[in-house]
Formats: sequence, structure tokens, C-alpha cells
Amino acid sequence: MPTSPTRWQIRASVFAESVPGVAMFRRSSRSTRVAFAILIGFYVVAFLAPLIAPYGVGEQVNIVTMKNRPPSAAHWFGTDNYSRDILTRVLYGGRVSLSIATLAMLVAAFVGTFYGLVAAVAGGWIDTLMMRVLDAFLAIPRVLLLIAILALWNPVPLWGLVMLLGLTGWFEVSRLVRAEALSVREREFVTAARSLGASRRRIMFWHLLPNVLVPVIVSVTTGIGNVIVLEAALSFIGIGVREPQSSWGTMFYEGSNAYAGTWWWALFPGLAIVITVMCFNILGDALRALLDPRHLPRAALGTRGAAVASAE
Amino acid sequence: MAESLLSLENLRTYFYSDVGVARAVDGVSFHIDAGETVGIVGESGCGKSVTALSILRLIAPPGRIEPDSRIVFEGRDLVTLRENEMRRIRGNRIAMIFQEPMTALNPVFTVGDQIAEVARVHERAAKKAAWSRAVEMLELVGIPAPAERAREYPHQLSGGMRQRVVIAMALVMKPALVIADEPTTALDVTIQAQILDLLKDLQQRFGTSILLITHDMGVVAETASRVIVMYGGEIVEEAPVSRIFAQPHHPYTAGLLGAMPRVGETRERLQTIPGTVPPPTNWPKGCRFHDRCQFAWERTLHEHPPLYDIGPGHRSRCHLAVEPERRQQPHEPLVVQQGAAS
Amino acid sequence: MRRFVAVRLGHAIVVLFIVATIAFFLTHLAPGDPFALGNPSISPAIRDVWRKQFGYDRPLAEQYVRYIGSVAQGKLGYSHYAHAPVAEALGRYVPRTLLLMGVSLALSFLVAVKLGVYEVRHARTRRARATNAASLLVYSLPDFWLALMMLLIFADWLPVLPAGGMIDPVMHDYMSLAGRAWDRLKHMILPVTTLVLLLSAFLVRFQRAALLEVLPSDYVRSARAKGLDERTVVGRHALRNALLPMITLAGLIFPALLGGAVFVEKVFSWPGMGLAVVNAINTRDYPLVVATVVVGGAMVVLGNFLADVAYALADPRIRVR
Repeated sequence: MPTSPTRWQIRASVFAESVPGVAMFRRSSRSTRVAFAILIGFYVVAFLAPLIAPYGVGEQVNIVTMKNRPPSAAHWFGTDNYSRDILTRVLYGGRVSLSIATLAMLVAAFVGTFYGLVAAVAGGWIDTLMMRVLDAFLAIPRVLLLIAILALWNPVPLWGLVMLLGLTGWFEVSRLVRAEALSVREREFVTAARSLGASRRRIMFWHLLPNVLVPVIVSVTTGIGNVIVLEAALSFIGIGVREPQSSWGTMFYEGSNAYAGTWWWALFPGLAIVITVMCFNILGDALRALLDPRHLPRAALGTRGAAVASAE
Repeated sequence: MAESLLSLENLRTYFYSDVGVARAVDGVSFHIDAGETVGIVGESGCGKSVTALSILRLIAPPGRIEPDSRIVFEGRDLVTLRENEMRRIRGNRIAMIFQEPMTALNPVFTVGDQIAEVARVHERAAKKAAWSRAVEMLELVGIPAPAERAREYPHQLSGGMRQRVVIAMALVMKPALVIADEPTTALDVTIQAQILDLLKDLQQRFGTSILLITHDMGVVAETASRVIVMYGGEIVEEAPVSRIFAQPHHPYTAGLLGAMPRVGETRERLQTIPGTVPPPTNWPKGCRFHDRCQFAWERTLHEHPPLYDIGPGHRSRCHLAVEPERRQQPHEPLVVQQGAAS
Repeated sequence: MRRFVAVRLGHAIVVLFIVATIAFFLTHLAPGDPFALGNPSISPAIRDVWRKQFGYDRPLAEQYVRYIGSVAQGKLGYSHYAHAPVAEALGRYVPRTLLLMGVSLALSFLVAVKLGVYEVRHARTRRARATNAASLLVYSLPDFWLALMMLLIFADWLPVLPAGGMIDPVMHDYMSLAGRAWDRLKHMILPVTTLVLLLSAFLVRFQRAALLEVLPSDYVRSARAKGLDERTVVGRHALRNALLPMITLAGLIFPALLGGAVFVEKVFSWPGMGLAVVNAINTRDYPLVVATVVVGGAMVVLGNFLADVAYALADPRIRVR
């Protein structure tokens, strides 16, 4: 016969159940926890890069003897042709890549949520117009649009790149937000009708917002992974991050131009990208299942059916 | 005594989950003879549908038919039969009709195709031969212009017609037993009568046995010769139709009958049975109907009643069979006393 | 059905209109002189003449109307680098991209459907879980990364396949008909395989989810009750319904597919629209770059329209009455 829990144990478990993160963590699978841990680790390491990098950023160890050295004890990831330690560069590159992607997705989340809520609450012809415009944006391949803007406004500062990546990534988010808002609105109207008179629009907004955040969180998680790849791809064709900044993408670009002899240039940043994206995908999948099993990829239905939940 | 067509012996079907084991069917035994129509009546959650699915072995994990159950059909135990042998029985010797005709039919195939498929699979009929069989069946179940209808899709037909199609699908191979799970529940009352008539007619024609599952006593009165009442995963009463309506023994049966609106009777309210079915993960220890019964006493709380024989072909799982004087001492059922009644 | 198609067509035209508008604003909001960037040695006087010729000195509203008009007629500007109208230049590249994308999409679907059915039918086995994990892994790979890996492995370390291009630059014209066909095929293998790997990894997850959503349906239960074997139950009854959302999905992934094509084409030097864009960045051929936005958008809109029509044809609930 188990002993009855103490008051503190009860309070602790109630708290644990109410904080969504803790409850979800307990219910998640092992691979999800591993992915989550890896991502936290990456973010922490990137944040602490100046403290833990073995060498200075851009430090050229010895341009004569130490250039293009394969991985060794002194340089775990080897050196590049300026004799810079690649491990250091990967750490600092992580700062750039991760912060660009995270900030871009925050922008996307913000704009997308706003757009979707406005469309849902406004309704009528405004909603239709907004959705048509959205369809047009969705029709233009994100990569082509980014290439066009980045090429025309060459050179684009880093903050501009972040804004652009964000402003081209909010479309799917807004569609999901709108769908969720519309369904919540149905329910809210019914209860509002029965309760004390008309709810004010602002209250509606605040009611909608928490519910609507669920698909946004899922979208953002997979979105960050996508943006990392996108930024790397753009840097790969020369219009993403530029000197003197370097991200995993630019490192990969340099590395790929010389892949034959010096495989370690491209391998490590490439590996960093792949691992990060995989973890974000696993996490995104898990979040989607945990937060609400109803929110399958089919969540945002139009008359056309399925919608792609991740941002491309 | 002639051997029964179908004989269930101590069927137990349990569902395993994190919250416990749901004993959906907990020791059910009955038989059906050739050409007979037997009705199984009960509320939702009593295990009648699971019983039907168990006969055809359509129970998927986390459910399973417990090892010492036996379902003897045409001399063979279906529980231990190999899967490919079982498939030869499904749709062929035993067919099933489901409740919702709209969802029971595949929306992307024509009605004729879905009927013909049965013939193609079981008779290895050629496409054309199977198709003409399908049209024949459609005519048999009373669908006008069967050749044109066969080329239509389920969404183009009305509810009653769809159910006729489902019946046609079940009868293509002239099965020995048809299990009808709430065949009329989703239909209008007027269509209900037509479908029941159709079933009776087809039964006469082919000599099929019918196992009719329903929560509606009225349907059973119309079509069955014998009635089985289920509650709490068990059989609580079994009797020929006439006896059940005239002399229901088990208080639950009486309750079900009392809840039936009847022509010619004047009553202020329909009688309902207070309380709800207990969860199948946690059947009460004694009589499972105990807390909703107006005659309950200590014995029913502690002692699980067996099926008592109380007349010709009449069994009842109620201690009133051995202590009939308790019938003179009705009281408020426990659920009402504890304020838990709906 | 006809009404459905008409509505979709109207929708498509509206979207195209907005796409062209976006492209217009791109050209006109961009800093700098559209003519100064091509060739710095062109004198200001000539640039003025061009400006008047192409109508850049007119009020914005008028330019907009003329732009929409010319786009509708298929005139997408003039490429300074190619010394030809953009439409003509792109006209050579676009079919090659379509070839690559079309073949990849078709093959990916076949793979995804087969794999999806397999994974669902053998759901809890180790093999199915392995393919599931593998598809997650492949799906997470960046397209340019995978392309480079493929190139590295199959054209460098094991030099079995050509390192790029569409045809052998030297020998192609001297080959026999069969030889030329094989040459073209050989050059397609690597880019197509890359795209198919990425696409099918993505599609199989949705196919699996679609099947799982359909499996608890009543008609699947009916199919089993009819005595059909699992292969037919899943592969015919369930799949036929689970394919419907996949058709819509095919339409929805066009933008991503086109985007991915850019990088795959660059890595494999496949002379399609993607490679043209990448080169245009370096040669500062901005009219072409902007035109690809319009063309890309148009391709996507057309693709979606076709997918919608295909869906309507495939789903009898829409096709009939």
C-alpha cells in the first residue's frame, strides 16, 4: 500500500503538471529528448564561443607551417588555408547561423501570427483579399524571391538578411494561425453569446492568441531548421552571409570549392548543419504530436485539403 | 440434438491499455442454429458489438480474444483458426453488416465494384461475371435500375439504398450467418421497417441465420425468434422473444422494456434506468447491475450471479431466481441514493 | 466539376496577377539604375535613351499598367547579358528544369507510395522503423549538401557518372542515337537521384500519416470483414483514399521543388532555370533574375491548378455530381 504523498509532493506534482514543458518532457520519446539536449547544447556552446573556443576568432596560427592541416590533437577540426582553427570557426559560425535562423523565425512568427489573426478576425472580403495575396506569396518559390531581393539590393547587411529570411517565412504560419483562430472563434462566439453580452474585439484577440500559439510553436521549430539550411544555401551561392562574418554556410561554401584535398573544411560545418536540422525536425515532430495530436499536417484546411506544416 | 451453426463458449475479449484491462466481453456463451434469427440487446458499452467483431476475429491490438475462448462455427473453432483460413470465412460463410452505411462503403469505388469484389475474392470470378453478380444482388435487395446504380458511387445514393448495398455486399456469397450490427440505427424509422423486412425476406430465401445486434427492443420484437440481453460484458438474460416481452426476469431487461414507448399506453414519462454502465476496466464484484437495481441486497453486492435456468429456453443472471421474495421489496437504486443518478 | 475548374482557374489568374505586381515592385524599388549595372562603360546619354525607350521615365502607375500588359503577353524584359529578350533566354532553360523536376516528382511519388504502404503494413517491425528513421535523416539533409555528396562519391571517388552538365560537351554529337540517349540518361542520374531522395523522404512521411488517418475508417473494417487480405485492404482500399491528400501535396511542394532545383542545378551544372539564375546574379542580369520570380510563380500556380484538377478527377465525390 503506497504511503499518501506529503503536501509538498502534491504541490510539486501539480506544478509539474501545469508547466507544459515539464509534462511534455516526461511524455516524449528518447530520441526527442536527445534531440532537445543536443540543440540546447549547441545554443549554449555557440553562446559561450568566445569563452570556450581554443583559439581566437580569425586567429591565424602560423600561415606558413599550419595552413591546411588535417584534424590533429591541437586542431580537432584541422585548419584552413589561412591557418585558422576550424573548430573555432565552427563555434563562431554557429553563433551566426543559429542567431540568424532564430531571429528570422521570431520575425516570421510575429508577422505570421499578426497577419493570420487579422485575416481571421476581419473576415469577409478583407480576409479573402489577404488570403489571395498570401497565395501569391506562397506561389513564388522562397529561394527565387530571396535571390531576387538579395541580388538587387546587393550588398545586404546582416540584419537585412535576417529580416528577409523572416519576411519570406511567415506565410505558412499565418495560414495555420488563421485556421486555428477561425475554429476557436466558432467556439468563443457560442459562449460569448450565452454570457454577458458582446465580447470586445480586444478580448477576442487575447482569447485567440494563446490557442493560436500552438501551431506557431511547431511551425517555428521546424522553421528554424529550414532557415539554417536556407541561409547556408544562399551563402553557398554567394549572396547570403558575407565577409567578414562567417556562418556555417559560408564555411561550407569555401570548403566545397576545395573539397578534393581538404575534406575537413566542408565536413565539419556541413555536419553541424545536418545535425542541427535533424534535431529541429525531430523536435518539431514531437512537439506537433505532444501539443495536440489533432494538429496533423492537415491542420490548415482550405477547400484544397492538405497544407504543408513546415515552412517549405 | 442437431448441432448448432455457431456456438460461443466462454468468449472473453479484453483490451489492454495503460489505465488497465477493459474486459469488454467477459464470459459469453450462446449458440445460433441454422435459419434462426437471434437478437442481442443492450446499452452501448455492454459488449455486444465487441462480441460480433470477435466472432469474425476483427479485434485488433490492444484488444485480443483470451485464450480459453471458443467460437465453434460449422464444426471448427474460429479462435484458433489460421488467419488465411479465417479470411476464407469472412464475407463468405459469415458476413457482417455495419451500422453506418455511409462510412461502411468506400467512397472512391463504385457500389457495383465493392459488391463484385466479394465474388472476385471468394469465387475467383472473372470481372464480368462478378459484375453481373453484383447487379443481380442489387436487384435482389430491391434497388431499382440496378445496372445503372451499380456504376454509381456511395455518395450518390440515399441512406436506405446504401444500407441495401451493404446488405447485398454481405449476401453475395450466400453466407450461413449474417451478423447485423445496429443495421437500422442510422436510418429513418420508415426506412428501418423496409430494411428489417428485407432482412427477413432474404433470410427466408437463403436460409441464412441472422445475429442481430441492437439497443432497440422494438427491432428485436420484429425480427428475432430468440433474444439475448447483455450487460457489463455478460449475458444477463436469454429467452425466446415471446417470453422476454411477456415475462422479463432480469430487472435490467424489465428496465429496457420499460424504457420503450408503446402505442396504447399512457404514461407521463418514459421510464429510464438510473445511473450508467460501470467502466469495463472495473466491473463490480457482485452483480454488475447491482447499483442500478431496485431489488439489490447484500447477496447481489458480494456474489456474482451465474446464469440460472428459469424456464424453457429461458436463463437469467439474477439472484431473484433463487430469492424471488426480494421482488416484493423494491427500493431506490443505490445510484439514486448516492446522488449519482443522471 | 466544371464549376470547380472555373473557380480554380479564376483563383489562379488572380494569384498570377499579384505575383506580377510583386515582381514589378521588386524592379522599381531596387536601388540604382537598371541600366547602370550591366556595363559601366555605357555612357549616361545612351542610358537616358534606353530609359525613355523602356518607359522608365513615365509615371509609376503607367509603368505598372504597361508592365502587367507585357507580362500577360509573355514579354518579360530584356536581358543585357544574353543580348536577348528574357523570355527567349529563359525559354531555353525552363524546359530543362521541368524535365528534371517532372521526372524527379514522378519517381518520388512512386517510391513514397510504395514505401509508405510498406511502413504502414509492417508497422512495428524493425525494418519499418529503420526506414522511418532513415527518411527523417534524409529529409533533414540540405539539398546542396546532398548534391555535393553525391557528386563527390559518384563522380570523384568512384568515377562512374559524369560530373555535371546535361550532355557530354565533346562527344555527344558524334554518338549514335542510342549513344546519345544513354548520354542524356547518364547525366540525369545524379541530379534526379538527389532530388528523388530528398523528395521521397519528405513525401513518405505524409503518405504514412495519410494512410494512418484512413486506416481506422469504417470502410477499411468493411473490407476486412469481406475477407480481403491485408495487402488489398491497405494497398487498395486505404491507399486509394490516402492518395487524395497526396495529390494536393504534390501541388503544394512545387515552390520548394523549384527552389531546390536552383542548388541542385548549380552543383551539377544542369543548364536549367536555376543555373541561369545563379549565373545571372554574378553577371548582374537583373531583368532575368526578376523574371524568374514571375516564371517561378507562374509554374507554381500552373502546377497547383493541375493538381487541383487532378484531385477533382480522382475524388468521385467531386467529379460526379
